[in-house]
Amino acid sequence: MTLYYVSIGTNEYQVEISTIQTKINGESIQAALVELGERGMYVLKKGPWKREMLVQPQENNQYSINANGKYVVVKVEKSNSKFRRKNSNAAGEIKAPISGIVVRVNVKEGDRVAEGDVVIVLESMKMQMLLQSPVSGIVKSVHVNLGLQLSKGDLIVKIE
Amino acid sequence: MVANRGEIAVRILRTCRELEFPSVAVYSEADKESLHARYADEAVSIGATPAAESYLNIERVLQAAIDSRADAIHPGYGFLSENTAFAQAVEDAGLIFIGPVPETLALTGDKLAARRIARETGLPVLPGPDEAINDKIPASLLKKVTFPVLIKAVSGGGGRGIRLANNSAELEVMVQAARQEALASFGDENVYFEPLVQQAHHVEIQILGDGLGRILVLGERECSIQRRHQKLIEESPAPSLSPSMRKKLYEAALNLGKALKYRSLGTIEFLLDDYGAFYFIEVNPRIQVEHPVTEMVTGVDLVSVQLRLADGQPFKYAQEDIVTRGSAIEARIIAEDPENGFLPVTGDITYLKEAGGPGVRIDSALYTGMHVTSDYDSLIAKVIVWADERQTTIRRLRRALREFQIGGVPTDIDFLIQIIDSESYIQGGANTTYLETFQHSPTEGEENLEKDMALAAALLEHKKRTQPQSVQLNPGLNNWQYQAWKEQMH
Repeated sequence: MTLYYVSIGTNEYQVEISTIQTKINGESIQAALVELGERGMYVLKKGPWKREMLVQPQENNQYSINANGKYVVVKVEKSNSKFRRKNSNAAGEIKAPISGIVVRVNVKEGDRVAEGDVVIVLESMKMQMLLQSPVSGIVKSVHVNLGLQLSKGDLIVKIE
Repeated sequence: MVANRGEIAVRILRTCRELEFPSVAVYSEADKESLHARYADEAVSIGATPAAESYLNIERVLQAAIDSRADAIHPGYGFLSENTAFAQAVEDAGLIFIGPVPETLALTGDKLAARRIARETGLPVLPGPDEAINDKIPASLLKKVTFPVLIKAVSGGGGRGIRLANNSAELEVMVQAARQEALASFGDENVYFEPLVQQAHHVEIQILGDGLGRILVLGERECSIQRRHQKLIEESPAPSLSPSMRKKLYEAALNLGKALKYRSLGTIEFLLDDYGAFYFIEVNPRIQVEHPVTEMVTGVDLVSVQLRLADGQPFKYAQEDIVTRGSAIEARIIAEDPENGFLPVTGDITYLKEAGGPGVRIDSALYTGMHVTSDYDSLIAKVIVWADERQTTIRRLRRALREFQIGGVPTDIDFLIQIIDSESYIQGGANTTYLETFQHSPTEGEENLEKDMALAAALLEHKKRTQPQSVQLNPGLNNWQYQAWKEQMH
């Protein structure tokens, strides 16, 4: 089961998706999204009923959707807005979880990153570790370069 | 040759094709792949993207006409359509300007002169000084003013640069601001003022003249649904008009047209108040954005009559032939962001499906891949519908707007639907201030739609996250899975 927090303007919806069922705001429904051959066109099926939508991915887990004359920008996240607010201060910093050598730097100052993007690859004890961005935003500063030896807790990247 | 761009250029070119008149389009740098340039038989580049260096440049537009050996120029609306110097230059070059004679443009372009002629012809005009006012307003004049007033540019029009003043202190400040704006926008700092007509309806009469004194009246249009003095929804017939008032307006328009010995298409604009009075506002000496509603109810192709007239052919119609039938409404689709104060937006059209079906006409220059630029008007398409009576037309317009799908840029489509769904609009009583206080509360249907959109987005995101992606640095794999994958690759 995966829980998604979906926001449209100031409204937030919780959508639970598993292989057996889908729930929106706790209400169980039979729903499927079918992609049509026409690029960006989808049909949302709820039982025998259906609705056609134009869904286009944007950056930062956002989708623009057109249907029935309405146009909205929808954001889909795996944590809710309360959680995000609480963690927003520290969330933009990536620190070294273990000591190791920087073997890859995927970002530079000013880059736009999405939540989950791999920012840095650390090598430690012949193992590689991918460090992902905990938030979506802009890279404010990069404090490491290729080959640098890091200690646990060293600041690597700041994201705003 | 069509000296314009966008939907109106395409619309004019379509009639050229029907009449089998060879056509020439002009285009700026930004418009080299645009629909109007593609639709014409020939297309001539006239310069850089800014309008001042292309569509507003008299020399370049005229040179394009001469080089392509065009014999007539249709100016569309906006740009050079009301420019006296342009019309004069076209005629001096031995070409036909499809519109009024330059003398008429000079007169209608000077709003105070137009007022004077209208009054001399017996049309009611709003009280107010007949002279342009300066920064210092004489006390004798101030005493006679009934506030609030609207300050307008003498060389303005089209609702641009209008300012409101509620008292004499505001008047001084606003006159100064309006003068600066008028100078910047129209190259003429002269302004005047008229009392604000509260709760007014905007009704305009379409006329067609042969330039020799023969005038046809082609019905009216009501354009009361306005935002920031810009029309959004127009219709014919006007729902607020009584038969006796309609007769008075037709007569007034006919008389003014005769007095001007009007040539080609023109629109006489009036304001109607709640007390049964009407006032002349201005003459629009060109084809209008909202002309299709008149075409729908009269069955007359207005561009075709303009072109035939310019070609020296006599009028095909007598006044008795002009019979209006049913009801037509136009809604303007504008690239703008309702979430951000309805500010114009730019972007690429990534998906397009225009509405169709019974009674629906789409005038647009949209195509998939088109770039909506901030260099020109943000009007990108017009949806015009016709039905035998107004309530059916409204239902048809709602259906058509819901069908219309534009991907890539936000538009006012949803806002248009909200307006035509509102009680006041349906009753036909909405006036020019209606949108200032317009409030929409989401219906159950809209709430369900939003929920469905949330559901669709979550399902798509889930699909993206759970489906295996191409073999590359994959953030979907955890660190140790990635390591296992990497080892396999060695």
